[in-house]
Amino acid sequence: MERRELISSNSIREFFNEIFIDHKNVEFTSSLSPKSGTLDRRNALHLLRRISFQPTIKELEYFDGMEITEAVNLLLGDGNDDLPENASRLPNPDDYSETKSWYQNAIQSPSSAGALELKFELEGILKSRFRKTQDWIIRLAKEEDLTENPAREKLTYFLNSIWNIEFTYDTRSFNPPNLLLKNNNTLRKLRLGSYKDIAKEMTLDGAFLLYQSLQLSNKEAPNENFARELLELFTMGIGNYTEGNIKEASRILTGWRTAPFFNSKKPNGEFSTWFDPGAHDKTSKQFMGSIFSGINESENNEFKVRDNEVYKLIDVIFDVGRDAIAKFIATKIVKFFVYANEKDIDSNLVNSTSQSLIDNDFNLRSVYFELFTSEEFFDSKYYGVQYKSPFELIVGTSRSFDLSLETTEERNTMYNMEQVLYDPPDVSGWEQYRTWISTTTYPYRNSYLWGLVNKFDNQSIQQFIKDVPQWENPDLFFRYLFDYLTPINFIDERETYVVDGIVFNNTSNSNMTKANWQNLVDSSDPEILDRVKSAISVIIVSPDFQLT
Amino acid sequence: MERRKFLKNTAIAGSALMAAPYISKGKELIKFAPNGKLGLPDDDNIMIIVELFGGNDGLNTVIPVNDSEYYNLRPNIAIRGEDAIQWGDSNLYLHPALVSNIDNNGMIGMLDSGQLSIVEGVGYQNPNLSHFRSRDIWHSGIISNDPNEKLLEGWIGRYLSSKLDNFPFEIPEHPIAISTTGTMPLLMKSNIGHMGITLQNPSQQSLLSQNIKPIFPLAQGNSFFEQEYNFVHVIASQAAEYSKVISEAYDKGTNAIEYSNGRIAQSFSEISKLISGGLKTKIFYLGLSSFDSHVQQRNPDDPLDGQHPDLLNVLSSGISEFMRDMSAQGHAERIVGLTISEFGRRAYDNGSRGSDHGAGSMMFVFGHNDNLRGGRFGNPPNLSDLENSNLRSRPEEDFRRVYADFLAYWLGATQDEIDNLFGEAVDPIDVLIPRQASVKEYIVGGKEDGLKISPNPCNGTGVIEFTLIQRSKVELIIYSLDGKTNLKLINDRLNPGKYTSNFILNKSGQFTATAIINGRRYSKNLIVLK
Repeated sequence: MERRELISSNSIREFFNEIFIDHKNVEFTSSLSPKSGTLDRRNALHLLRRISFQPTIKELEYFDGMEITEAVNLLLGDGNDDLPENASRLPNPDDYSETKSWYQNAIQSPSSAGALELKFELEGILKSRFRKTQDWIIRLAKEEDLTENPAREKLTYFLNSIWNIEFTYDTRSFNPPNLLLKNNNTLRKLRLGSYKDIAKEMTLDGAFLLYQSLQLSNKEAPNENFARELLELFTMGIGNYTEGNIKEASRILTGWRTAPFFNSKKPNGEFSTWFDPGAHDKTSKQFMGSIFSGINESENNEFKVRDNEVYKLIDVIFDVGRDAIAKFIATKIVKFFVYANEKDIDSNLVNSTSQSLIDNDFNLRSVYFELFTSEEFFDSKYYGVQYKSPFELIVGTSRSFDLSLETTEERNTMYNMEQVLYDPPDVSGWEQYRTWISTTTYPYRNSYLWGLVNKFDNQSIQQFIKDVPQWENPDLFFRYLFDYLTPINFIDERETYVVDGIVFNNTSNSNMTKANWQNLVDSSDPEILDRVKSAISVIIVSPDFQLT
Repeated sequence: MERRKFLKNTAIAGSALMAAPYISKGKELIKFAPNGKLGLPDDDNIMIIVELFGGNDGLNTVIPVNDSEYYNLRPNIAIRGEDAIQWGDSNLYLHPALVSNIDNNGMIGMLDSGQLSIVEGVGYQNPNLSHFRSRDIWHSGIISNDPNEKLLEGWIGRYLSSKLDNFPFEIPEHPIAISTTGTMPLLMKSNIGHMGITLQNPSQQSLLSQNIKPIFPLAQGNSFFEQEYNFVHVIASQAAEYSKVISEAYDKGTNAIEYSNGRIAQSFSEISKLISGGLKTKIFYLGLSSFDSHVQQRNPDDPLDGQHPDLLNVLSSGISEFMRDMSAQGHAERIVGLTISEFGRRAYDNGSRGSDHGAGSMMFVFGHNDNLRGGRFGNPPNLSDLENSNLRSRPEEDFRRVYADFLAYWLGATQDEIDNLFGEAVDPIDVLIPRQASVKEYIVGGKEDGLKISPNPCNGTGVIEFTLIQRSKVELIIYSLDGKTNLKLINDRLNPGKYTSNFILNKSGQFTATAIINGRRYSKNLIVLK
């Protein structure tokens, strides 16, 4: 049998098969119950840790006592705060001048470069820029100040953990990270928008075109890679589409290209997506009950095909699969922001969040607002039950103490903890939850934390102590320290051990008493500062520090 | 790939942790006990699992050179007949990357010495072409296409957890299973915790694991928080405890050969050191990814160049080097292994010089030739009888039948345990041969008194009796010493229980009654006096 025949007879059969897939509307009966009142220290910590990272003491103090709805409005913002085109919005533009310059400028395609040495050199440049991209993302998260700006970075990271892109540099694929920076900024820009729009933007995103092989897909042999992941991983989840749907969607998605290198064709400019009419399948397609009529040459252009085929495809997916998508995205939201345990996931919470997605036509800001101001979200059974991803561990711990390791060391340590931003193990992303902790990663996590504590000098410990409100009272200080650093403070024994056994243990030095605390700290007594450092070490290298 | 560097940070910060009296000397809540005492099989069998993640292109691994349809369907990526490598004068042809530039001809060398079997056509019914769902199906051994059915436990995890009653309060003192990837594969997960550990840098293990043993005990309650806290606590305790046995074995162990530089070969060299150094781990898992060859699968001018050939080459190098090393060190008869991959590729290629996801593929099974029926198994692909452009999977080649071999013949599972594990009856495919030294008896009374013949001598009619301990494949034959009689009484899979079989022999002479049970022979002489 000829190959073409095989494909078309198959897709017709699949087209008829798909009527057996039941896209019936599910009734999500429950809805989220709004919580009123103000934040106290405990639930402010819970909110800040989920919507962002471990807060700084300044941020915690800013939100402690605020009305819940006001706090969540401030934390979410309106989504218009930063546009990716506006480079001055990058923090500390001076430090990123180099980033900004390569961000705008492509290099030659290594695969077309002649000599082997030149290819290696070009790949070296790409790889080093890839690392700068990761550093930039980490730094944005560390430097975020929630008393000044909305919580952008965790919400961007959430979308990034769904719309996974894997750029690696050991597979001869020569991926220009410029596309990643662009992709990351697009997600940041759209983080509070409609999930439907995100799907449209990502489908034609340059990094995706390259990573998901649409870049090479053409009418003779459409590549199914992206069509499958679009349905399986980014919108509906398995069980809601047929192999025939994938084949038809991949025909609809033929013809899109990006411009990764300076010697690439680039009708729309560097790193911009463009349309190659010759590669697009103009014949009619049938997708989930909708007909995409065949088009003539005059309609075979970038804007018409984008609107009438690509965007229409996404619209059909959301029309036909509305409930499945709502449930799929709601599950991701609940797992990411509330509790990642799939076995014990609360189906009412998932259903309420699904209903919220439907009611708000997939507008994420509205859904986040309802979730983060709900009784369900603030249920104390969810306090401290999430695992810190390496990204969150590094960003959060650095924010707690205003300390960081060298960038290279930090990047290596994240790699050792099994997370490289924009290089997850596969297109489904990091597995998250308990998978973060293994006998391989735990020692590296611990080693990182010891390394960070060792960076504390007397002055920075003193500074840390004095940032705590009412630090002068040792009982209040240590109460605060445990609240602030542990997910929930549940080991009484440890508190006794730290306070009486380490800090105020006066068997070897009778000066080390609670009565002397304020003087000792004020006078920078090296021993008390050293003891506080030990106290902090005991807390942060305990198993519960991996949770948040 | 970068070699992992570690941070030399692990030092006690600040003043000494001097406050011993403030920590309760409460019960040591996690106890480490000798592996053999915890219900695990007390033998030294070892199983290796190599996962080829992304969906290995089986049709470009074992090459159907005599099928013209192969060349019609795959104009851009097919391996030409003259490039494929024939095994002896058989009709088995391998991708040249499995053979070329590898010492002892890689996988062809292994086929020659009976150390390799190739099981073709393996898969499952109604194949799922999602990497993730299909991978979960292969890891869990549960074939379910219902997305609402979460597959959260692996078949190895379930089996091992059924043997460890008191986990995590009692934990084996050597890790039972090791994954050489950084994160725990589903394979080893169970509802009571992870049944294996991950290990990437055995040489640095002891350094990395300083000061990580938790000071405070496990939580006693069962809240979400306490469950997660205890999970981390157990991992931390294992990391601390196992670092000692691992470092000890690793330092003592050696390699008898030099390994190539591929990722997987390096992992194999580390496993070899751990085995030769005396680590009692029974299961090792290795992962090799990037098999998802949608684009640029091969260089059209050179069958050895491209991502897929590169991967096949490192795979074949790794496995064949490991088996040579184990043979040289006298451990080979302890080892059997297999490769798994979530699916194969579509029968026809795509326009990006690659291939899309497709059903049906093949597995490699390797080990010492005493423990393996070498050569070709299963159902070679039939490209003229496709199902939605994919290879057809028949129930006979359910991939779990290969798992059943490992469970029954290598890990000491009874057939009931196997059936329970998969939720339905799964018979071994019989590619493995039980290791003689480690075999327990399949019938009551064993070799000496297992078969009872009465009367004996007899006048031509009589009864043979035996009691089967576990569900097994049973053949019962009577043959005469002159070879003229060959009477097959039973050839079936039987459940445990007592069996009696009547026979009629119509001439005098000396006969032997033999029961072959799961490959193990039980014989008794029988005299007929007419």
